[in-house]
Amino acid sequence: MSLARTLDQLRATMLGRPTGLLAYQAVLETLDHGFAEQVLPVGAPMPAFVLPNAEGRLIRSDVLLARGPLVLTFFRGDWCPYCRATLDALEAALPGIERAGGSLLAVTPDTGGRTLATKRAQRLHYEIAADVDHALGLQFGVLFRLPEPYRAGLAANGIDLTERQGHGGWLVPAPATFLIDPAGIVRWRHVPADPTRRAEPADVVAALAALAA
Amino acid sequence: MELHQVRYFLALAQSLNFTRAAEACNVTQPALTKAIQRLEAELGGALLLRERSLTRLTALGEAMLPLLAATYQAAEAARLQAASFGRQEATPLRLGLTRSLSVDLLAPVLDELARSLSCLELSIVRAAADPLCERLLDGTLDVAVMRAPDRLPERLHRWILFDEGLVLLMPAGHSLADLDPVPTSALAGLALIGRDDEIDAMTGPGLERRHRADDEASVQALVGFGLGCAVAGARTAPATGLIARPLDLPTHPIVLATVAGRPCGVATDGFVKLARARAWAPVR
Repeated sequence: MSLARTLDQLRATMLGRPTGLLAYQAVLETLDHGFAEQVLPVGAPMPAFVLPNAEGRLIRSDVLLARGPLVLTFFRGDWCPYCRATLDALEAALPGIERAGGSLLAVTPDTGGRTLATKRAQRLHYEIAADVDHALGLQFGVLFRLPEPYRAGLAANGIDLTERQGHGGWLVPAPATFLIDPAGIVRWRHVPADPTRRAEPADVVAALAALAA
Repeated sequence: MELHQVRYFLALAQSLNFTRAAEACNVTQPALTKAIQRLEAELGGALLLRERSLTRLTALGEAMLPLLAATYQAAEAARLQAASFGRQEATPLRLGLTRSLSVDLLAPVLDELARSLSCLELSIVRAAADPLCERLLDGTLDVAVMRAPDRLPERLHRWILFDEGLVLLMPAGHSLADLDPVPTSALAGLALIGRDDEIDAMTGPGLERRHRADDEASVQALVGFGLGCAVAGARTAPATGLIARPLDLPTHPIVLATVAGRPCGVATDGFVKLARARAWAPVR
């Protein structure tokens, strides 16, 4: 099943509740004002980074790029069911990404060992790193502030982003996906205007194959 | 939101003057105004009140200022760090650690830092929490890990790493050894080894503390000599011949602290990121 179909089913369940629908619409409205234009465009150099990975090592962008093209995807955290589904779909696509010479990195603003917990709970075999204080999200232009109805929904479900992130801004990255070539240039990107929609892993693999060709 | 929008907002929050902020950011005033308006639209409200002769921050502006400053600073630190890749520059880290916590606690983080920064110059200062706070504020420490006293100076950024209870260290076979937990009322009748740190404050000032020592090894040695019992953090490993029993007291947070708004070096940034990214206690 495609990731899009899995996400469609999830959306049908989540948005069946009136509060869920309201929160969702508030997010769409937030992202409806030229958000994608602010995001790092194709052709731009990716900002270099150092991030702590799930295993407690500092990973460097130059070291990752020395191995080949990099697929970098932002996710909000393991509290987000769409993110969990996407991480699973990327795990299924990992052999294809690696066959095409690429490596995969998923980045979340969650801290406190949640990257490792996610990796273990979902049996993921790619790099997951913590974007502490949103340093990378800001440089990629993917950050936005969750609107009030959404914040209320999270609070009602006991999800405290301030505690998870160690940052009280209610900021999350739009779940954008980037393909970076070994020279550090963005060659392909997927920036959803709706955070419940994600790059289809098959499209990521195809973009990677096109880059290698 | 974009990096430059945040930069303009921080400049504006500092000068509270559109003309001066535009000059400081090297942009035209209309460009600055437009960027601020976009940021406001995205954050869901006005950040500044523009009155005829006065510009000031709104409640949302006040609330977002330290948060956006932290994110901007993290992005700047990341750029600095990336620029230092492969350079053989000294990277100092002056780390404060509460006396009652073991350096072993920080081993995974320090190990990775030493591995990834070949020119790391680490210095560790052991002291009680209050002097560590003072040294952070006067700039002689970059970062501290401490058992948080009840009140931390406002200028310190702090993140809770984990909560820790207190235990009573005593020689094996002590009359309190069968109690679990030891009620705090039992402390009143005991000779306690004083530590002159935040643990003394947490267990109450009125107790008998005839003997004192200011490092963990000496405190435990005095307990071993039979001079009294000592209160310690629950993760403390008791020396041979000593046992630890939990005390009936609330837990206290062990915090990581830095000075808000102070630009930090590559090693400090790496330390803070590694410490905040990992789990110090089982993940809920």
